[in-house]
Amino acid sequence: MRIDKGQISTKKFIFSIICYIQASAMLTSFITAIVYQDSWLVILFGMIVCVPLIWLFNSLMVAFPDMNLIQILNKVYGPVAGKVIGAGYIWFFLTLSSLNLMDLGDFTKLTFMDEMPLLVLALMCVIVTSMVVRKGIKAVAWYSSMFVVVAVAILVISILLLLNQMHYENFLPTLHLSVLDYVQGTHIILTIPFGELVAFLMITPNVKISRENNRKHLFTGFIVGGLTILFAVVRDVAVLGNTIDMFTLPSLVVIRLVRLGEALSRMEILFAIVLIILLFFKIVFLQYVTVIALAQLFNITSFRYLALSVGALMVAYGMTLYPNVVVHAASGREIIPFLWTLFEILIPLLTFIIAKARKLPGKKEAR
Amino acid sequence: MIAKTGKIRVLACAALLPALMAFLSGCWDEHELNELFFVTGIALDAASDPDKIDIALEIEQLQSDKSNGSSSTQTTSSQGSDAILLKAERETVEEGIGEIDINSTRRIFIHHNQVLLVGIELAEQGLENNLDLFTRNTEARADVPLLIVDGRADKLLSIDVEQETIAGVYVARVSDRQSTISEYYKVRILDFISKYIDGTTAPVIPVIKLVNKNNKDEIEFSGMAVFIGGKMIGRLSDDETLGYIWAMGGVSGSVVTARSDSMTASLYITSLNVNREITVRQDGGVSVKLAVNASLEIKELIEFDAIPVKELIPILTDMVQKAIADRIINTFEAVREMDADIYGYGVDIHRKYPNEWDSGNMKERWPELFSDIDFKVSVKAAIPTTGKAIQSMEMEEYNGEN
Repeated sequence: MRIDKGQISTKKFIFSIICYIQASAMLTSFITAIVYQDSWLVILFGMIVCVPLIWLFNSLMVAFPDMNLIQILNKVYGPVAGKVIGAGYIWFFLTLSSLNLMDLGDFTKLTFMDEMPLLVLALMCVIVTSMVVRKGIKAVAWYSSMFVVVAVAILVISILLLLNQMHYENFLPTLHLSVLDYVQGTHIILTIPFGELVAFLMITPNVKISRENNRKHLFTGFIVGGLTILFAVVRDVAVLGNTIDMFTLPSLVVIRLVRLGEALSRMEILFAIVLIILLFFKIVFLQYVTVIALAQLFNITSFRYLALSVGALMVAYGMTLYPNVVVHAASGREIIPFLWTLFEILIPLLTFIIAKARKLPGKKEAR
Repeated sequence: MIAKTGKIRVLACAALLPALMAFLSGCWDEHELNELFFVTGIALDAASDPDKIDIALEIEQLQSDKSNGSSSTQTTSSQGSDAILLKAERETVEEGIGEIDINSTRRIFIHHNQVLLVGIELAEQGLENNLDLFTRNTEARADVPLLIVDGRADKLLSIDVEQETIAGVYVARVSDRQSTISEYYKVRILDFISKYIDGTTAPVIPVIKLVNKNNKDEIEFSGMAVFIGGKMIGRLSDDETLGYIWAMGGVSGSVVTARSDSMTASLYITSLNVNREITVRQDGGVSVKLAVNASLEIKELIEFDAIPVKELIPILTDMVQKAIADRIINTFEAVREMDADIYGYGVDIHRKYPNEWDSGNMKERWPELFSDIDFKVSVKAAIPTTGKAIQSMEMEEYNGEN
C-alpha cells in the first residue's frame, strides 16, 4: 500500500539529497571543536567511509523499489518485529525533525531575531512545513533545485570574496592529533549528516528511477552535497585558523569578515538566508518521512491529517530535548553518533543481510 | 461540500496570513531607526577603582537629532562633531553598555561600531578579560580594528577631527588606508585573539595618540604596542614598526630612506615580499633566514652630485638594501630583548616541526629559544625606474661636464 502516490523526477531526487546534506553545514562545529584545522580532512575521511553505506542504501532501494523503509522492515523482520523496529525509526525521524527545528530556531535567534521567543519561531515554521507536507512529496521536493543553486552560488561568491583573507598555513600542522580524535570526528561526520540519508529510503516508491541509474543518482547527490560541506569547511579553516573552534557558527563569523570596500561588506545576511532555506527544506523532508512512516505503520491511508499533529509534536519534543545549546553540542559530539549508528548503519546492514539470506523480495516484486 | 471546504480554506488562510506576516517579519525584533543609538566607537580605560573599567560609547548623532538638540545623561560632545559620548564605570564591558542603555532614550546598537580603543593604562593591566564580549555578542563584530591610545581612549573619541565628522570613523578609515600598505598595520580583534591563542606569538597593536598642533588636538599614529599574555610589555617606535612590517612582507606603498655619507635617497616601495626559512639547528636552537625581495621607485635624491648617472642605480640599490636590512635587524633586536616573538616564528616551527615542538617542549622553552635565534636577512632590491627625471639637477651630466 503506497501512502503518497506522488512521484518526483530523478533531478528532484538528486537535488533533494544535495539540499539535505548542505543543510547540515551548521553542524560542522561538532567536529571543529575536536579536530580543529583538520576538520576538512575528517569530512573527506567521512565521505570515503560513507561510500559503502551509500551503496547499502542503494542496494535496499534497488532490491525493494516499491517499498519504503517501514514496508521493507515489515517484509524482512516480519509483522511484529518489523513494527517494533519501524516504531524505533519513527522516533528517529521525529527526533531528527525536532532537533533540526530547534537548530533553525536557535540559528534565527542568533543571527537576526534574538528577542523573538523560540516557541513562536518554531510554531511559525511548523505551520508552514505542515502545509507543504500535506501536499505530498512533490511539494516537498519542489524547490530543492533552486535552494541548491542559491546555496552553491553563495558558497562560491563567499570563497571568491574571502580569497584575500585565506592563509594556507592555517591548515598546518596536518594529521598531528591523536588517532582517536580523527576516529571520533569521522564517526560524527558519518552519522551526522551523511548517515541521515537513510531517511531517503522512505521515498523509494516515489522516485522514478531504474535499477541501473539509481546508484548514479544517489552517489551524485551524496558527492555534490559532501563537496559543498567540504569547501565550506576549507574556507572556514583557511580564514579563521586557530580560532575556528571558538565559535558556534564558524561560517557565520567568516562571512562577516567579507569586506571589499563599503559596498561588499556585512554579507552575513546572505549566509543566514541560505541556511534558513536549507534547514527549512530539511525540516519539511524529515517531517514528511515521519508522517509517512506513522501512516504506514498504522495503516492510515490519508496522511495529510497527520501533518499538523506531527508538527505540534515536533515543537513540544524539540523544546524539551536539551536544556541549552552547550548540552546539545556535547550530546552531538559524544552521544548522538553512537545512537544514530544503530538506525543508520546496523539496522540497514542487518536488514540487507537477512533480505539476502531469505532471498527477498520474491521474483514478482523485483523490478 | 466542496464549496464549504473551499470556504474554510479561505477563512483559514485569511486568519493565518496576518499572523505569519507579523511574526515572521520580526514582531519582537522590530527596531526603528529613530529608536537606536548607533555606536561608532568604543573606548575602554582603566578606572580609578582598580576593579572597574571606564566604558565610553561614541554615538553618531543623526542630523534630525542635532537640530532637535536631544541628549542623554553623562554626555560630552565637542562643537562641530557629529557624535556624542556616553560613559559608564563598571566591572565588565557588558555591564557598562547595559548601564548606558537603560539610562538612554534609545537602544544602544553596537553592530556598526567602527573601532575599539583601549587606553594604555588598561592595556598594561591586561586586555584578555575585556574582549570576550566582542566575540560572543551577536551584534558585536570581531573584524573591528583594535588600537591602543597613548593616554585616555575616551578623550580621543571626544575630539573634533577636521578630516571626518566622527573621531571613531576617522580612526577606522586611517586604519583601513594603512592596511592597503600592509595588512599588519591593521589589527582586528580576531587577529589579536588568534595570536593570543597561539601561546608563543606576542600580538602587536597600533598605538595612536593626541598631539597638539597649532592649538588643536590631532590624532597621530605612533608605533605599536607589544603584548605578552594579554598585557602590554613594551612599544615599537615608528621605525621599528616599519622594520616589523617589512619583515612580515606583503608590503606595497611604504617609503624607505637610505643614507650614505652625505647622500640621502627616498624610495617608494612598490612591492616587498619576504621568503621565510625557519629551521631547527642541530643544537636545538632556531635559525631564521629572511630573503627580502623589494621593487622600488626613486622619489627623491639629495646630495648625489658626485655620482655619475650610470652608477646611480647600483649605488642606490646597495644603499637601500642595507637600509632595509638594518631596519629589519634593529627591530628584531629590539623585540629579542623583550622576549616577544611578534613575527610568529614559534607558530612556524610548530607547523613545520610538530614532533620536535611537542617532544622537545619547545612551546614552554620558546622565550629562551627566541632570544637565541640565529637571525639573518638578505635583501634583493630592484629599482626599475627613476621616476620622471633620469638625473637630479646637481648631477655631473646636467652641469654639462660630459
